[in-house]
Amino acid sequence: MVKFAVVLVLSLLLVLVIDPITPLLFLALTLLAAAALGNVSLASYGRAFAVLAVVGLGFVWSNAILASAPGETPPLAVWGPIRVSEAGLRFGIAIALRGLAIGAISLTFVLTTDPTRFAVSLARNARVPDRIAYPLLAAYRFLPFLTDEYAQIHLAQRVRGAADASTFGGLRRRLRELVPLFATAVRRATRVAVAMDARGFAGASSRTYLRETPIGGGDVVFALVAIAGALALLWLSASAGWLRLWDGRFSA
Amino acid sequence: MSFASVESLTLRHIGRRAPALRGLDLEWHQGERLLLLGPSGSGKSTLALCLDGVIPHSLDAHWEAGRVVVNGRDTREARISDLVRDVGILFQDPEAQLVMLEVDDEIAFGLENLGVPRDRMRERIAAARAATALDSSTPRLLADLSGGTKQRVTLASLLAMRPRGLVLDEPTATLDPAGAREVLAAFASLAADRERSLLIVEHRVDEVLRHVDRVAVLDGEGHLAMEGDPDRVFLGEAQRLRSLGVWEPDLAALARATGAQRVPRTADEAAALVTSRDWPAVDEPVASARGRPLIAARAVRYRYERASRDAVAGVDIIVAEGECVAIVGPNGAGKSTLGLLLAGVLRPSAGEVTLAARSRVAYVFQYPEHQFVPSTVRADLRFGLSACGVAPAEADRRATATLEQFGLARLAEANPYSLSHGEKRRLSVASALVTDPQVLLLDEPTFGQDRRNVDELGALVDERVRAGGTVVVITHDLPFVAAHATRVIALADGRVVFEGAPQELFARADVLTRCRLVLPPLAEAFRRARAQRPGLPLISSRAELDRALRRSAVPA
Repeated sequence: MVKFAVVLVLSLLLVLVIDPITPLLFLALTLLAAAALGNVSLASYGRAFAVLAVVGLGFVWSNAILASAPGETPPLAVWGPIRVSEAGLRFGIAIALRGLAIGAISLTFVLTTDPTRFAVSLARNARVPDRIAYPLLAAYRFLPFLTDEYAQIHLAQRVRGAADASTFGGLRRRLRELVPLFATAVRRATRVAVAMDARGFAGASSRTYLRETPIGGGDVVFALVAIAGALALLWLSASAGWLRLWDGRFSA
Repeated sequence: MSFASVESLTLRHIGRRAPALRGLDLEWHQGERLLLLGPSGSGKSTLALCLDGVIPHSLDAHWEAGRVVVNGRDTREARISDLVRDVGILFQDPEAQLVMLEVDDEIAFGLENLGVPRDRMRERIAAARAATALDSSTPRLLADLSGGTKQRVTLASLLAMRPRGLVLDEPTATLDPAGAREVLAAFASLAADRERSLLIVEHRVDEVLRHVDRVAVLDGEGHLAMEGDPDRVFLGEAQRLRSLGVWEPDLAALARATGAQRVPRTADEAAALVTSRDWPAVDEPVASARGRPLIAARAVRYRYERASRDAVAGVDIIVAEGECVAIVGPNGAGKSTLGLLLAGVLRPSAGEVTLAARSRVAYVFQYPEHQFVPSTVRADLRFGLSACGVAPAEADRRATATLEQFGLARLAEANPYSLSHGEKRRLSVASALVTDPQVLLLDEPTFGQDRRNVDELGALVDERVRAGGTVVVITHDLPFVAAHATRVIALADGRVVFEGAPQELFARADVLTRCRLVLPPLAEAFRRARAQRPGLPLISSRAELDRALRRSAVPA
């Protein structure tokens, strides 16, 4: 829970940063901390980053060619009608790196957090209603089920000889596959809800908890160290003259 | 003394025209172990949900008449939080009941809802684990458990709440034979305790019979059709049970054949009945001359993306014209993958699968819904025909003929998703057969089906095979294999570990163990009897038993 709050705070801080160097520092520190303390494999970061990198490149590109205010500074490069401005490029890279840094922090959270403890802590320490915290866990179980189910349906529909070669054939097929997926998902979710109520989840008045999730000295130290680390990075970046914070404008 | 009583209950589900239960009267006595049977759609699950107050407190329904009293409380007036202390309910599918990610959390879930203090929880969890044989070697994470073990965890989580009554609604229906055996063993020890009132809905009647005191049977309309002592019901009402489409114990047929007044409760008791009379010799299975090969798999391997081992690891098999090949094996042995390879849906990673010229394989998946093309039953049949390039007029003619043949004509314009369990299965088979494929491949076709549907399907398989067609059945259902397969292929770890006649498989204890298979009750009885009298035949299915009886009735 404390960890989740810290992740939220750090992510919010990063959202306000619009220069490329500061997120890079955060990224490095997060990975370093995760590798040193978290007992996680860097390979799992690699996979997630591949996805984020593609999205990030999109940002770089679109900002580079769109965010340039004509006539302000001479463009870095001109390919026909496409003008790449230096400010736009810088802004794009900043957004992409910011995405990576927030991604790294969030992923560290996911990889090092026991989902059960998190849900129980949400319910107990953050006073999130049980009606929301527990279905979160059920949903966590749901995702792999949906993936398997979709693979099955895809095969089953393919067997029916649904080879529609027209332009929209593929799309129509995909949509058709969603119908049984949706039907099974709804049925399954209903069943889980009924089973939960049949075990007294509905109408539980004074719920107790098997897990203890006290917020202790360790949590406080962790939060302080993390926030201090973040502030130190910001200070470092500011004193080197790299730091730029968002001033309300959407272009450089 | 009554534990729960259902009084003239009529109940209709939201959006349905016909009531699920109609004027139902049923007594469930204190400490009684009651077996509830009925064809699918007879309202067994609805009744189960009424007994612990889920209906009407958590699921809405039109409560048209009558009342349900549990432990002295009218369920409509009591609060659900009190009702769940009286009755716990175990559903079919463990996946659709588990909430948490770890075993102990799951068992604690109900206790937390009841507000049991933490220091008391630990001891209750330990007791519940002991009662369901979940020891310290059980993995901590639910995701690492087999289906049968997950179902035991769910049972443990109910036991921890210490209800006075427990309803088990087809607790083994989604499990493989070994998983079912695990859960039934847990049920047996509960039944032996006699501490709680138990109500079980279960179609593996032979396995639960020795643990129940009384049987109640619902008919297709939601009435109570009959109830009473198991021996009286199963030996005296066999005709009616059959016409209702209700599972009866295979061993009841053995009891009738030997003139016994009691349905055997154990394999030894059944073996004693077998040795009590003479049996005509049954021809030893001979490798029948096989027809033209239709599918040949040579050194086939298949590995799924990101998997660490081959799902199918070097398989050589031939499927020929005019046979019914059963593919059996434990979960994860590669049965369905092999089926998909044989049908040409998956392409092998190595080796090859060849299909005879002008031959087609129709694949029927385990869950009929997965294969439906939305809109109407008729459109679903026509879809396959047009995919095969059949002209529209001809497609119409064939779709209509098939609708008639499968008894789906009155549902022609219905949405496939609105059909009953059995109708969905029938439609999925009809949609596969309408295109007249050379090979029909059925994946777990009897899964969760009632006796009438299974018998219908078996008759259809027999008929096709007699007519020279070919059927491949992927299944855990050994009684179905015994009755309908001409050849069995057993898989384990992606390899063929046995190939031969069903009777040969039943004599191979090593293969059965390796493939986590459990002998059908009749086969087990005859196997034990043969250990005493080696000359006896090995009869393993009702059909064989009937044949043997007919033959011995004819004077030599």
